[in-house]
Amino acid sequence: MPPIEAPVRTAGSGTEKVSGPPAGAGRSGVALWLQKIRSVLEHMGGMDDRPIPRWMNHALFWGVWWAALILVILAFSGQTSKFIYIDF
Amino acid sequence: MIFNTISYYLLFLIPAAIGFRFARPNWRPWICSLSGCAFFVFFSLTSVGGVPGAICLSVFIWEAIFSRLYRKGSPFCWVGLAQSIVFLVVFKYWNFLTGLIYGQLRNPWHWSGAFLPLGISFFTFEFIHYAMDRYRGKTEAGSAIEYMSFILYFPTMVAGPIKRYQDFLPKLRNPETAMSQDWQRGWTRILVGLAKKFAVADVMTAFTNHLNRADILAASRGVLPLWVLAYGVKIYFDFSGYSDIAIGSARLFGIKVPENFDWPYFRTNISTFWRHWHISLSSWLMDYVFIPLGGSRVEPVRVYANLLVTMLVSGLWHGAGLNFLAWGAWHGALLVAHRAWTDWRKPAVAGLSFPRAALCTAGTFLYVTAGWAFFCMDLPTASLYFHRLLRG
Repeated sequence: MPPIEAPVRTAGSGTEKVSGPPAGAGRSGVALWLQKIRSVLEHMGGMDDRPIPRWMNHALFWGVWWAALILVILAFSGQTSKFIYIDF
Repeated sequence: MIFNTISYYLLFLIPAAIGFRFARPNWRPWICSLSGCAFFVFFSLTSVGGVPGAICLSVFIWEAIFSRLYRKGSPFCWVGLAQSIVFLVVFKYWNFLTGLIYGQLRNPWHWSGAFLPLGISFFTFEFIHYAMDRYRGKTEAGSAIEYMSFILYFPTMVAGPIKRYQDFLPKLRNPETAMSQDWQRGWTRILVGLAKKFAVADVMTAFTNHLNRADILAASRGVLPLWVLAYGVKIYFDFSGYSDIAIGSARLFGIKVPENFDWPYFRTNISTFWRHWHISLSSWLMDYVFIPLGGSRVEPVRVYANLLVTMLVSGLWHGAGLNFLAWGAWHGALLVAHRAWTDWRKPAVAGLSFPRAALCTAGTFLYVTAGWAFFCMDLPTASLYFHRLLRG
């Protein structure tokens, strides 16, 4: 396994990414859009603490997002399940 | 189990995180340790191992005491390593190894009451890390209670991310103070993890349940790849969802633990896949298996052997079965092939063009997905699966 060149990425670090843009994707429009989508998804997922677009930096946005997540969880939580890696 | 139970949040996470936040600094390791002890006993009794499982808390106490003997270059570090391995082998691999010896014959050494202490695969790796890094002088000892809080830190106890003591200790002593941001990010992470688990991973079970001998024999050929694809989706959302919950839980304490997944299915080759899938395990294997074997600083044939051995260890760690060894070998083979390819043909400095990157990503994804067949089925069933898939 080739050595990891970058430091271990810790939660919320944002600036300490192990990865960068998709390898070799250059600065094409598609690659930049993918990078933006990824950044938004990571922030919505709680992974990233870097400055976010203004439209996301609003309590209403997060309230709606949390409500959606809670609804999804409640809608699907009736199944009996265990996590694969526990234990394992 | 555990992370999707109300008791986890109401009895452990919220009280411990609030207590940790508002406690005096010298109380914080006690809060982590005592809540971790309670967590281990409670969920051992209710979920994994029962009373014998709960008694295994003594392993942590023994480890915390014995670790006080570790010094740079001390043989006690090797004793610590050995006892961690023995502990793991006895609980996880006893029946597998004795079964290998006796084959089809009746195994007189079969342990009918075998159980796995909660989180054994993960906490033993943290024990080993600490012993080896103390031996190398790469980490300070910390106090006994600080080390106990590290090994008993319940957000990551059950299934990682596998922490490093030298990363954890400063955060234990000086956690983040922006509580509102930490709780906002932490709960977001937890909710996303639960949604991944319930709404995606568990839904895939409707397809992955068909990965058994009878259904594989009865199914049409075209549907077979979809079942393994569903498993690949399921295991990613299941484990990354768990990791999200663990990382989010730790965030409530003001402690940031390592990430475990970084868009692994979007990587262009198997090497970068393994740097972005179960990151804490990959880096552990690199530091404590691959590099001690010689890593990349030996002649190419040995590098390839080191890669293969490392992945076999990874496979065996994931499960006590020949199918897991096969899964490890599957990934080891491609890692070796990739390494040989990059050794022979140095990668272009400018990187891949977008179409080529997309093709490489698709190829990597397909190879990894095919490998899940070994992960989720025993060897005979996996062989049947591939036979039906390839030959009808």
